[in-house]
Amino acid sequence: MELLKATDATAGTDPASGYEDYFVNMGPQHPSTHGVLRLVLKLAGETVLGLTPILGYVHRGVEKMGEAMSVVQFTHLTDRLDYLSAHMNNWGWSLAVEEALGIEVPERAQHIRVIMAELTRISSHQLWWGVLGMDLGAFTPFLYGFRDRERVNDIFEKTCGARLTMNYIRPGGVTADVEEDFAKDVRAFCDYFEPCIDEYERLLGGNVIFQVRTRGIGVLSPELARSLGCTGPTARASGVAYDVRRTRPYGIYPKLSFRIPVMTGGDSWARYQVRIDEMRESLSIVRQALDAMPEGPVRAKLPAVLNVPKGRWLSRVEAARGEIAFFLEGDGTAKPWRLKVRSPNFSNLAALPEIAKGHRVADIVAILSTLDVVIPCIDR
Amino acid sequence: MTDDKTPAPPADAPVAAPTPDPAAVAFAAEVERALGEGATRDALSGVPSWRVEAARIVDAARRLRDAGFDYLLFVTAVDRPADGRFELVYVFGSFADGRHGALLADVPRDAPEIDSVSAVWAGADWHERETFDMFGIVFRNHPFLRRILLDEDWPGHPLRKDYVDTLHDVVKRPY
Repeated sequence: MELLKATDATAGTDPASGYEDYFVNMGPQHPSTHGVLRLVLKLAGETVLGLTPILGYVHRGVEKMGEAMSVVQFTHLTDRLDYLSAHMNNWGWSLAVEEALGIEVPERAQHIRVIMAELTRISSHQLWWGVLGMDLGAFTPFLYGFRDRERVNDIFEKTCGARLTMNYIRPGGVTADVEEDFAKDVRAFCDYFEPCIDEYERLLGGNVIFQVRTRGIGVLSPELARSLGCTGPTARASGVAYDVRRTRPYGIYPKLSFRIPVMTGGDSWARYQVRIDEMRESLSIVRQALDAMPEGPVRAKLPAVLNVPKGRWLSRVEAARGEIAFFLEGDGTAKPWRLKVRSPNFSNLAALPEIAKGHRVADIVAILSTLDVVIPCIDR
Repeated sequence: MTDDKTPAPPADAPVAAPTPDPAAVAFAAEVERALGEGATRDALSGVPSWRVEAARIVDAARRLRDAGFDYLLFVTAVDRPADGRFELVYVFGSFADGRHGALLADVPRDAPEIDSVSAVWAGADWHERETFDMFGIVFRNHPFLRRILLDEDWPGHPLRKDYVDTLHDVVKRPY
């Protein structure tokens, strides 16, 4: 029990029945953890008394690797953090480098970036929605979610040749201009997907069993969310109206009009609602950016070697799961002296031990699924 | 591929031209008022940063939080072997706006110890564990200071510049 805090490591006994508390490992290989995460549960019967996440099973030392490569080379590693927010991670890293080197990004590239980022948000939420259904015992949402996600992936594949690890948004702009049919494809997707969201809501949100499984489960208070630094839909479902796109706008977000969905329940149901609403807003953002997209270059001309000047730089971006921040310290050479990735999932998962207390084992699955953590982003 | 018409930046472009942005000046004044005496503005460009005595870190963190900086983005460290110190970096912000700054504190490389700020911002708990894991910096009064990403018996602290990874040898650059 070396890995557990003393309060979580000692088993009590129920004086009436004589039953002892016991410990169960959930993971490291467990379908509901969506990756390699181990939770040590301290249980009394089926009630969770304490929970300790054990991290690091997919730690790759991304920050250390970054110290050995140039800032452009590092872009591809950001894909592999939260792989469902690949475009946003690329964007975040590019912003840090662009700020450090004072690079101006062409207008067309700014629009492509927003469209790609919001499509990524939609595809990430589609996957989350499908998997949430499956976690709670409904298989159909999984098929629906992946059916629609394919369409987004097809757009990505046509544009940058990749469906998961994009490496498309990079310092100075984007790799290459979008292909000819891009606007047509994206519009077709938006028109196709808009009614699908209503269908999603009826299919899963309208299901009584689903509602019972999520309402009042895993309530995260706004005070705790703030203190732990929770961000993204997880914090917004707890009434913390915080979104980097609004509080610290980057790219062309200031020119676009969109709502930030906020709920006050703080439970799994609220987190579900926030993400469903976000998909609608993202569609609207994509359409606006597409309408306003100008012609022109998509990459700034960069020097052959990007030497990061002396200084510390920070970029902040709203990824699908919350705020991802890249901290970059340069020493005048082409390689970063130090870089640090602030993972939204890392801070969001920190809320789990607190909000899981008192719930049943099956509820842990619902809470984990609505926290929507991606393990490679936590472990880095 | 489109034609690139954007002119190339000059070879040694000036970094962070010192334009006195009124919002940045107001932010600096607010932070300095909150931190009080003993905090010095760090000269490095980029993120506005203030350095405090390591012994004062909890007090400084509490002052910032009470002044409305309720959001701790992360805690990390930067190894400076040439100066024989680790520089701890606490990046703070607020849930109400998008401003941020960094609180810095130096600890000696041969005996790196500092007080934990996890009582001020609960989120510091895991971030300090990560910093302990990667740099070997000890956080006093931490509720549960254990390695968080690496194995308990992992040799050394990988993000130190003198760490040698005998298995992969990923860092080619001498420091």
